[in-house]
Amino acid sequence: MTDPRIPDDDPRLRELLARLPDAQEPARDLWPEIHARVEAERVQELPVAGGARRGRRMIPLRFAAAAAIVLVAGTATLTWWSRPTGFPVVTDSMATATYSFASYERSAEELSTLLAQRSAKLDPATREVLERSLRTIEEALAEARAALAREPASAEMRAFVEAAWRQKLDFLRRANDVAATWVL
Amino acid sequence: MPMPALVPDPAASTDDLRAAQRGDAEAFERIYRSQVGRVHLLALRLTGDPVKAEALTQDAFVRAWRKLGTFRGESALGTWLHRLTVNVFLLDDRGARRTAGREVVDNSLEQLAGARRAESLDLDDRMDLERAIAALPEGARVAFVLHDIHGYTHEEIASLSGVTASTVRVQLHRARRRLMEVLDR
Repeated sequence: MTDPRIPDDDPRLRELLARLPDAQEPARDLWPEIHARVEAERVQELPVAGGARRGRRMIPLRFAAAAAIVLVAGTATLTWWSRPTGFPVVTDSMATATYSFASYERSAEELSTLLAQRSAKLDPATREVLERSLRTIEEALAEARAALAREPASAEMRAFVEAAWRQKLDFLRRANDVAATWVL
Repeated sequence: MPMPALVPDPAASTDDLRAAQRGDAEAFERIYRSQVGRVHLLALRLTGDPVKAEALTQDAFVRAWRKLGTFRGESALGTWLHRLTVNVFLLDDRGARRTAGREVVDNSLEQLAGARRAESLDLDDRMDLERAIAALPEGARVAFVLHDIHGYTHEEIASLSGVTASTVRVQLHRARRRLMEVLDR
């Protein structure tokens, strides 16, 4: 029986497609980061404290995207952080206690260790590119964490730190990919 | 109102589905573990890049967590997750990924990675079909993966991708021709 999706003139392609696997596990466990994001959303979904606005509100997703843009642009002044009106502030102490960046830290540590092993074999110019970019991201993360320390109850600051962590993990994954192909 | 019966899925228990729908993260983790291989392979084929595939896999499961309450069990969970992953890739986050303002860092990385991928492609005589698919241009790769591997129609792909069905046919033709060239080497 022929497969109507595959041209009749390429039986080799049809045969190869039939033998393709239907599953492949990722090279590392992605659950800690997924779990952290899921938990972050739980916090953001908490009721807004005080005032007449007591409905359930979400931090706009575009905030995280904007945060990432600011991070990578290397903006150090952080004047942008002046909180716009209307953002929810989570004051529930339980929410504050349950929110943690530990999963991000563990993943970053794991990826950094792997990158350190792989980058030793990179040529100096490539290594310099990676190290310079990583420094920029880490400086922005440090600034974001400092801001959160000043306003620990601010959902906005938490979202900003989370965006910074995700930016760092994304970079580390990409850098590891580059380093891996270089080593091979 | 009683919830409808869920379509059995050999990879995910009904109890876990119900619990995850009520907000049980541990149950959702079990669902993740049972489904991640299929979602990740789909992501790998759609993106052609292991790093982007990890990001897409994560995005898909986070989206699944948000939308799990809308899952009524009219299809198997794996089928639902498959569609959701394709939607995340084609409809939502692809544009954001392209314009997320990460150019400062990403451009240098992408150039380095791209050069290495192209080089290894030429040097490796044992390149398999998966690697050949990953090396296709994005439009051709997505058309091939969704049509020839997963059975989407030209019209479905066109609708999801925001292009015409004719464009999908052209991309599919290019993909097949390119893959046949690789296989003929």
